[in-house]
Amino acid sequence: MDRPVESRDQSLSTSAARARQAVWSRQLRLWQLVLPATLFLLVYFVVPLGMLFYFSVRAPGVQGMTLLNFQKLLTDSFFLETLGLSVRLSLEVTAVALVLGFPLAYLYTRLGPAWRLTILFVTLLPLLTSAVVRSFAWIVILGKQGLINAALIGAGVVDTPVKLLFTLDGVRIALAQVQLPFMLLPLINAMERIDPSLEQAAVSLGASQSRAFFKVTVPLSAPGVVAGAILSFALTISAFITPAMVGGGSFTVIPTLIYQSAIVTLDWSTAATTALILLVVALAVVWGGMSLARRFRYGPESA
Amino acid sequence: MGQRVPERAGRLGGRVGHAVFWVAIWTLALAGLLYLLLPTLIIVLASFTAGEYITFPPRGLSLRWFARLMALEEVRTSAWRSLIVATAATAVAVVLGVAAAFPLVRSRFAGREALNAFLMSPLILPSLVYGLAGLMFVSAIGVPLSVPVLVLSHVAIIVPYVIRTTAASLALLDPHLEEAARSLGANAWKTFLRVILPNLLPGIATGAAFAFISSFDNLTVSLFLAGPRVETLPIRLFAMINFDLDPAAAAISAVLVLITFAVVLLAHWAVGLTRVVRL
Amino acid sequence: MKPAVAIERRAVTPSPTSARPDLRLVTVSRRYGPVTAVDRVSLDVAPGEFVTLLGPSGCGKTTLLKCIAGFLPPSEGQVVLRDEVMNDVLPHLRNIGIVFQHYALFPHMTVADNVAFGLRMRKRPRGAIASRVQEMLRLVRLPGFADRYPHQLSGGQQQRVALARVLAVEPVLLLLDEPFGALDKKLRVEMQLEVKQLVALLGMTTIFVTHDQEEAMRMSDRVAIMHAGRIVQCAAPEVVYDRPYDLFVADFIGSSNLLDGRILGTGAARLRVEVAGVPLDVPSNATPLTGEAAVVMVRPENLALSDTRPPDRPAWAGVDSLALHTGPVMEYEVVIGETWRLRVSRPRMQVESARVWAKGDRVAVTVVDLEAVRVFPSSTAGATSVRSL
Repeated sequence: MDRPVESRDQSLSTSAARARQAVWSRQLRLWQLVLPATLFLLVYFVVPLGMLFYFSVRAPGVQGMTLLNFQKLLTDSFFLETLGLSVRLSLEVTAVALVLGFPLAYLYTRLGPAWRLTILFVTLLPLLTSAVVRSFAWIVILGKQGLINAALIGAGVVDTPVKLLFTLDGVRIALAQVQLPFMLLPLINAMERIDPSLEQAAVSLGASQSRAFFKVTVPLSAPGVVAGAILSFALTISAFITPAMVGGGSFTVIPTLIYQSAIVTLDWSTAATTALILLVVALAVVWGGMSLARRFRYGPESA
Repeated sequence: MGQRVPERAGRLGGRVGHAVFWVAIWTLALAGLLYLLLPTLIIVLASFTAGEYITFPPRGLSLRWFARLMALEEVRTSAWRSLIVATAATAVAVVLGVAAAFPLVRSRFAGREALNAFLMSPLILPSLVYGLAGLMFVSAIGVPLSVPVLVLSHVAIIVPYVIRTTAASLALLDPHLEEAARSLGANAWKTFLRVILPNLLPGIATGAAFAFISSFDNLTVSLFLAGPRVETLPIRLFAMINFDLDPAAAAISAVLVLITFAVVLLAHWAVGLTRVVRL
Repeated sequence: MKPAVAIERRAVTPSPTSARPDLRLVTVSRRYGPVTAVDRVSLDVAPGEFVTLLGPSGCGKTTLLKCIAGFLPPSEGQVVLRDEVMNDVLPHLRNIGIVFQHYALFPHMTVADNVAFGLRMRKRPRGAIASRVQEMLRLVRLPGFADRYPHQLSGGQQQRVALARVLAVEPVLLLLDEPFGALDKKLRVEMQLEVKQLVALLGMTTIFVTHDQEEAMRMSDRVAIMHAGRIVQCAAPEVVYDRPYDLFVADFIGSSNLLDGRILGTGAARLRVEVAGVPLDVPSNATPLTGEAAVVMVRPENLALSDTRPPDRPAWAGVDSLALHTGPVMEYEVVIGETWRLRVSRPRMQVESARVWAKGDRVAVTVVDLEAVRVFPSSTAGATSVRSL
């Protein structure tokens, strides 16, 4: 009587144990798969950033770590001006991208598949096109014989060509277009998640289309706005190519400083320090934006 | 019971407000759309100019500048170099990225979110900062700048694309398919080859395409890490534009746009653009 | 002898009162290119009446609802609300209340803000809004929920907030678009009763859209059955059930045996028809029949089983092939001859049906009430279920 029970218990426990082992070895094998990528990034990504840190805390003639470089930069008026300019420029560009991107994202959710595809195509094409090409296009458009001047003169608005190329205004115009796709995609994502019957409900309760838009759609798309704005800001403040090409040498932004100190003057401490300050500013905005976004969560979206 | 419907005047006001709203939305939206499209369109059209320098609209249409590209040795060399670098970087990125996607989607382990964020982080980090850091790192360990170094640095910044699209595809894959295959007698490797991989291919292809174009297009990182003797096509283009407005530069730009166009088409054919947006 | 049951000669039975209708649909159509989603629908809804639009998916009921609400302009016809033509009026000015399938509560507003929304749009004074909100929440039995957010509520509670929100502005008409679809069965039945009581209390003219027959029958004063964009029949639930206007309605509502019949002869408002070899003397239908072929409808509860053929009434002889115990009712399937299957359902608790038949029993099937048998032209398009063969 006893033996059959015993062997049954035994076989149960070994099969359970085997099952557990199988799960474990599977987990282990999966772990192995992610290791190469992780290691790669650790070596080729994290370590270089560590180098950045290293160079920023070392100054010629000073032993060990020092904050001298940071002090030097953060008390330098030119640097602070440049930093201020970078931040202001990024905010302006983000604002323009938002104003143009929001209606486009809104229409996207209300139009048919043909329109949607068109919008997506027109958004992805510039997004994936090289920054050099896009900046070049703006050089062509903003130049004295470019499209804008040709249109303005042709329409009789001005008599002589307006100087747009190699100015801050020109860079603003160019950068806003470069950033628009990055603003648009998170916006579209967020708007798609909003239940369309919410606007209808608002309208049926007496809100005109525009009131329903401002009272329902806009607040509910706040997470998308924040995501797009963070992305846009971070990318604009670290943009190098467009300000360099479209701005010529007419003004400096932080990335220009970095490039100059790294490649031209070979002052790696300054370059590294500037880069770290840039990183900190960008990360601060990202972090600030994300906490802001969390405040706009309204529980699981009404689906 | 209940209110009456409003008078004529109220209704008219309502219609006017309605119209104004939609006109405003459509105007801004179309402006945005044109703003997105025109620059690319203009530079491509300008490259067909028959004239000596870039104007818009172009003076006459011709392919002469494209022909010129073929003649310019620096252009040919740099284009070839870009191709090699991008292909190599993409290949490595695909191997690393596809493998990494599996545990990110299939396993549950503590720190999975953090690991995911880490693997995606190159996308958010300014490439300028990365280029600088890479240069410092490479010189610190005493390795001279060369094509392999450039390739590896590109891998770091493009691998997130592959991981993202592969993970998205994998997440959509019905796990029952695998269970069905296993129950019918296929082992892990066979299941992977015959069930998982074919279904993942569109996602992987899209990620690889984005990775490729990111590497091919990249200027910032290449400026730091290519070194004096290695030139990629964007670097060549950058140099050409900085010195004069050569229509050949427009032609190069048009070629780059064409490649990008092909990538977007591929992404749409493989996975559908609407799904790409949700990544 | 039982008095002859009146045949339904009208597709649309008018509403019982003679008061001016709150809603009139005058040959409303909605087309999308070659597709006609709503096909010349005309309907009058009296004040306080509860009309349900019932039909399978794709029949056009939701499209019609959107036309009434103003979200879609009709291609043809007029929507008239209390004698005012609404075609040119924007939806936000129509004062029609809508309860959506997934409630559409504003997730970024509290319950109180949700309920107050319509009142704020109408610029009512703050104090009046506050007290009205409280009143509404009490009405739907959710006092004290004012400061909660929608995602903190259960499905049934969200439903009630949606109702409170819509009733707060005293709309002229209430539209409910499959509002109970997301609820489980028990909750559904509870909510059906609650909603019905609420709108009856307020005398609210209501149009309800659903594909669930039971729901429609339970809640409505009249049921409008829609098919392919048209209203096929609109009448009180019992009329629709007992006197279906055509084969589609007969087939769609409840279950029935639809049998091929052969006309043997016609008389004054009566018909002699042969079904599976047995002649029946039944009332004739509204639509005149041409030719010999017809479709005969007998509901399963209108058939009875006995061991032997009764001598005084027509009966079929067959073998019981299925006996299913489904709660209050026994469902049988009897095979007649080679090809005919009759579905019979008998209540289990009545004395006369204390007998339970089993699979394999030889039985005789008789019609309980010949007056409830319906005959339709066999060429009527629209019957979607397979005929009993």
